[in-house]
Amino acid sequence: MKINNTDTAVLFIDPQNEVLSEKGKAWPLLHESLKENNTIENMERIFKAAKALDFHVFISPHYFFPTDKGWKFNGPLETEEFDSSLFARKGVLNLDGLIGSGADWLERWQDHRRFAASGVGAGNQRPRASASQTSNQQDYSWRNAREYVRRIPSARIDRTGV
Amino acid sequence: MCVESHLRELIEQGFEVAVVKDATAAPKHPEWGYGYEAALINFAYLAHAVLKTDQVLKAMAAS
Repeated sequence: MKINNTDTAVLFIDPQNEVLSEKGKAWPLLHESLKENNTIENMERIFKAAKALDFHVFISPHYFFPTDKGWKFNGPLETEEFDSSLFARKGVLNLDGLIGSGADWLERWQDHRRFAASGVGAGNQRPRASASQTSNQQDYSWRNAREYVRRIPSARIDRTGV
Repeated sequence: MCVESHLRELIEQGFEVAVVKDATAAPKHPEWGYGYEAALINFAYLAHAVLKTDQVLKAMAAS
């Protein structure tokens, strides 16, 4: 597989406190694996290389919203995640309580939010850790971008163009 | 689990996907076992490349 910055992107999945911070709810289950792999440092090395070498970066954070509690059944992992309110947010368009919560980015990567947003063409001068910035981070992740389009009645996806 | 879900989805959408295996982690659950061992096997079956961070940095720098 060839890797180059013209058609290869870097995708970061769930770079959030809940799984990467010792304050996160999943830390007891994950810390040994994080240490064995040196995960956080390795993710950071890739972040920095992507920035230096002009690779596009996409972030796919994990969030649960109150509407997600409407399922009649869940698998074992999701059941545990719901029971502990892992990655919980108050609403899709509600950023109350997000900053510094388990669903927020790992503190040491707060500056990379700006970088991730700038990687897909947004302005890179946004104030650090502002609500609007977090919103941008969410909107520019590929998974949430699709959901975002789906949620806006006036928006249309041209499926023939996808 | 989350990485593998993205891997499968992106493959279904037609992307070539490399996983950087030492930039991931998985739970060690008292009943369900160590998710990373299962993930590594599935990465090998599914991904177009399974790399270590050193390897991906080298490939990025050489591009």
